[in-house]
Order: sequence, then structure tokens, then C-alpha cells
Amino acid sequence: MTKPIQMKELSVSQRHPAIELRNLVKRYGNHAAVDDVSLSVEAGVFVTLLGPSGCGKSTLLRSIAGFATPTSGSIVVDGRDITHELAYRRPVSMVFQDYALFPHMTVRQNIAFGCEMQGQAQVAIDERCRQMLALIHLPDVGDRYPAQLSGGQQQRVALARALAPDPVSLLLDEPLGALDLKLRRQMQRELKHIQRQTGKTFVFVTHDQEEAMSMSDRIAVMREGRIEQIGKPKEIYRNPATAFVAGFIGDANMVGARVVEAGSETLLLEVAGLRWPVPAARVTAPAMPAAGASVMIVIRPEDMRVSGRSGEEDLVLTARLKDRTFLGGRVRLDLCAEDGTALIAEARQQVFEQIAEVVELRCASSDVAIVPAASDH
Amino acid sequence: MKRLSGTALPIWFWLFVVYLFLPLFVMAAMGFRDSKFIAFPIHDWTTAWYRSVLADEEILSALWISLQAALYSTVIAVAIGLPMSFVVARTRGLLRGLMIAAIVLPAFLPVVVSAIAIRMFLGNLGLETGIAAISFGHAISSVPFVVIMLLTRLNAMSENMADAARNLGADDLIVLFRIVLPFLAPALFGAIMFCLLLSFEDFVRSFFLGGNKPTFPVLLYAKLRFGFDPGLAAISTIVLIASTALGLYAERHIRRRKLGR
Repeated sequence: MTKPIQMKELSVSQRHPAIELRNLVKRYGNHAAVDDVSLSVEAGVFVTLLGPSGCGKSTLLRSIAGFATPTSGSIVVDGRDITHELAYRRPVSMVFQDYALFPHMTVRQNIAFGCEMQGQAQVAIDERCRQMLALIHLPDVGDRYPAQLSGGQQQRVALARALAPDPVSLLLDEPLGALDLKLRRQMQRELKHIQRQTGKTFVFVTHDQEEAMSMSDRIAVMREGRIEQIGKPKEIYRNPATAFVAGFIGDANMVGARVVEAGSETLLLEVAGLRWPVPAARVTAPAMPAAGASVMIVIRPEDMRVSGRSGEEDLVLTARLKDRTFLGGRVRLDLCAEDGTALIAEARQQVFEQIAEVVELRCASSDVAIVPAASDH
Repeated sequence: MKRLSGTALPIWFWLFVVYLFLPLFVMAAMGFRDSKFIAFPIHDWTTAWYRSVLADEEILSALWISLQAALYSTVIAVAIGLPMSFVVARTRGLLRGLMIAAIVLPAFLPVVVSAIAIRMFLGNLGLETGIAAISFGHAISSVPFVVIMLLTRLNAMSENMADAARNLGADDLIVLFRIVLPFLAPALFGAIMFCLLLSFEDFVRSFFLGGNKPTFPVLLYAKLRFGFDPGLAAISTIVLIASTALGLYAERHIRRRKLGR
């Protein structure tokens, strides 16, 4: 139904990253909202800035758009330094959380606005509007006003309006935040689909880690103005660099431990009074901890085994069952370790039937991630 | 209580409506009385009064003065109030409260006091009484209404809307003329209508600030001192109908825009 959308030639974009941030700092008084962020986004990639509210992700996005002036550092878009370029001359488009559609203009006038500002011919603008309306699967709403559309439809129109002037990159500031869960899931798939279809670089901001995981090619986890880790969703989930990342992405058990011996192949840990060897490759932090250092063992709930075979190398934790939640085919168990650490595990329903009040949890050393205990900067 | 609200309250309501409108109907009817004196019942009917006042040079001239003052004062009030509303809209916290108080307070001053103050002030500036003085006087009293009406609309504007336009390539002038002003249009229209009516119907300021040519309300007052006649009722009725029609049109216009958008 939709024709392929014509885009600028990619030759320029292939040579440069679509967006490059170099040591970007944005201070408000003494507070650094963005604190020395460097980031390079390849053309055509869906990258998500993920973090709790106040972590600087929106400020970062607004700096790229030109609504916030960086204190220092530079912003390069498509090979061009735009750090001091006025907002209306930047080749990036933004989709706002509240959509910010122009209520006094029809949908078509909204979508045409960017092309009009570029001085395109009316014929070209009309054709572009038609393409965009087809792209968002709303070919018949061109003459309506935004107030006559549902929230989800307004969201799509905002997307079409941002894409219409053919920007180098699309900046999306929590665009799905106002939608209910079902619509949100649907729009996540559709956004991803539109991103693939147009081949545009998307910089997406969200605090919802599930959303980030399901949509992104790359996730940059932000905290207190800095990028804590950047990588593919699976990498970040399996190999978190810090305890913060491990806790923010998905559910995680955090078990405190001390390094007894730090070898090049194996790390010998002391956990709950017992010694436990872990392959050095499972140290997912950038730096190898020294002997005597405090670390966190990150274990995903699905890697916690409540029963079954016990391997030689397994970590065994004794815990008391506190609560159980049925999740359809699986059961989520909330437990409490002897030292008071809260633990979660998942078990198959059949296994669950036989669970006692006090259980032994097992975890293979190849399934854990070792991160520094102190996660402050 | 239930029976009270079922019958007594509506009766109370409609009684008051009658009280509001009856004098107006009596006035309108008096204009058709074929006699020089105001009295009931009306035995002989005529349209002569209505015809004569529409040919009365003195009345037409006063209407023209009032119309000019209304137009000038509205232009001045909007020119002052529009930028003021922008400033208040982007201010937050305590300062915003202070700004709104500073703008609104003059509207609560006794009209006579502010009229005298304005007369003295304009006199010191060397401005003679007359249309200019009336226009400035009316503008001063209209500004609070302009600012408050525009502010209500501005508060409903997404903070991101101007940024969205900028992001799509619009410079500040285009943002103002293509985004902000069209968005404000319904409130702006309402404010203009309100200013026009406020100025046109004003007596006290016009009385203190006017020169030898009276505005329409001032002329009516002057004529009243020589006693009622059906001509006064006739011209009052005409003005009443004209301003009501204008008010209703403005109201409808604003409401239709809000629905459509």
C-alpha cells in the first residue's frame, strides 16, 4: 500500500555517523544535567537513551535539537558541527511527548509545515503529505483537526510531521508516554516498522526499559547525566557494566561478594562464607576487580534454578519463600536469603507444586555477571 | 428540599430573569409611544421617535465619537496587552503572581478614582481632554481584561508548540505569525469585542476625560437632565440591540472556533 519513501542519498551519511556528541556538558547552575557525554550514532540505527527521570536524557535530546545550549562540548550531525546552529536550521526533527501538534491547522497543514519552511513547491508538498499519511496508515484524516483525532492517531501525525521534511535524524522524546498500555505496544511495533521502512536514524528517549529492549538496535543507559553503558539490548541485559544497569534493565538478583583471588582465567569469590570460582570472562565491568574488592553477583531470575541437577560449579543460596505469583505457565517466587537479601526466581508450575518453605537456589557460574559493588561515580 | 429545588428554585430563577429584562422591554416599548411623556399604558403607537433620533445630528455625532474612542482604545489595549501576556505566560512562580496582581489590581479600583487619576496624569503630560484622552483612559482599563483573556488561552498552549515549529524550520517571526497568533485568535477576538463594548458603554471615564464633544453615554446623561422623552428610550433601544447582537455574534464565533479546533 505504501510506496518506498524517497530519502536523501546515503553517500554522505555513510561516511559520517548520523549524530556524534563529543564531551557534551550542560550545566544548570552547579548541577550538570548532561555530564561529559560522548556518543556516536551510526546512520539508520534505532538508538534509545534509557534512564530514570532526571538522568539527563531529555536534556541531551533537546541539546541536539537546539532547545538547550550546551555548556561545553560539540554536536555533529551528518558531519556538520551544529553546536552553535540555531534550532530552526538544524537537520533533525523532534517528536514531543505531548505531540505539540498545531491545533489551529489541519493534519495536512501540520505535516506540510516543515516542507513549507524548506520552500518546497506546492506540488511536492502535496505529494509528500500523501506519502506521509499513507506511511502512518491514516490516508483519510488530512482535512481533520488534531482535536478530532484519538491520542494514537495524533501520535502518528506527530511522527509524520517530523518525518515529512526528510531530516537526517528523528529525535523522539518519550512519544508513547501518554498512550495506554495496549496502544503503546502497538505503536512500539509500528514505530520500529516505520524506522526500518524509512531507514532514518532514530534517537528515542524513554524511562521504560521494556520499551527500550523491544525497539532498539542500541541502548544507552543514562544515569545522573552520564552514559553508564551503551550496547545492543541483549548485551546490556546479559553483560551489565554496573549494578545500576543490571538493576534498571530487567529484574536482577544482586548478591554481594568479596574477591579473594583475581586470576586471569578465574576469579575466586567469597559468597556467604563460601568460596566460589567464576570465569574471569563473566566480569562485565570495564575493569577487572582486584583481590579484596567488593563486587555484586548479578543473577537473572530465569537463571536461578529452584530444583533439578546440581552442577559442581553452582552457587548455592539458601532462601526462605515469601511470596509466589502466577505468571501463566511460570511462577515467580519472591524469596529472602539468610542475610536478608531479597531474591527472585522463576520456576515452572510443576516444579512449584513441590516447593518447600526453605529452598536451595542454584546458579551456574557461566550465567552470572560480576560488577563492582559501589556503583557511584 | 427536593420539592423546593423542583419548583421553588426555578420560579425564583425566572422571577429574577423577568426582573432583569422587564425594564429593557418597557424602555423599548416607550420608544413607540405617541406622546412626549413616559407613561403607561400606551394608547397611540408611532415609529416617529425611532426615525427622528436616527436623523438627530447631535446623537449621531456622539455615536461617532464613542465609536472612534472604542476603536482607538481597543487598538491601544491590544498593543499593550498582547506582549504583556507573553511575558506573564513565560514567567513562573512568585513573580508571575505579582505580575498578574499588578495587572488586575487597577480593574478593582473605584472607577471615579482611577478616572480622576488618569485625567490628572494625562493633563500633566499635556494631553487635552477629548477623544485621545478618552481612548487612553479606556485602554488603561481594558488592558487587564486583554491580558487575562489571552493568558487563559496561552496557558492552554503546549510549551512545546513553539519549539515544534522552530524544529521544523520556522524562525521567531514565523512562529509568532503562523503559530502563536493563530492559536490565540479566538481569545484575541473575544478580547477585542470586550474592549469595544467596554469602551462604548463607559460613562465615568468618558465624562471625566471628554472634551466639549460628548460620547454617547455622556450625551444621554446630559439629555436626561432635561427629562425623559420617548426619543431617549428609542435610541437606547437601538444601541441595546446593536451591542447585544455584537456580543452574541462574538460569543457564537468564539464557541464555534473552540468546537472546530
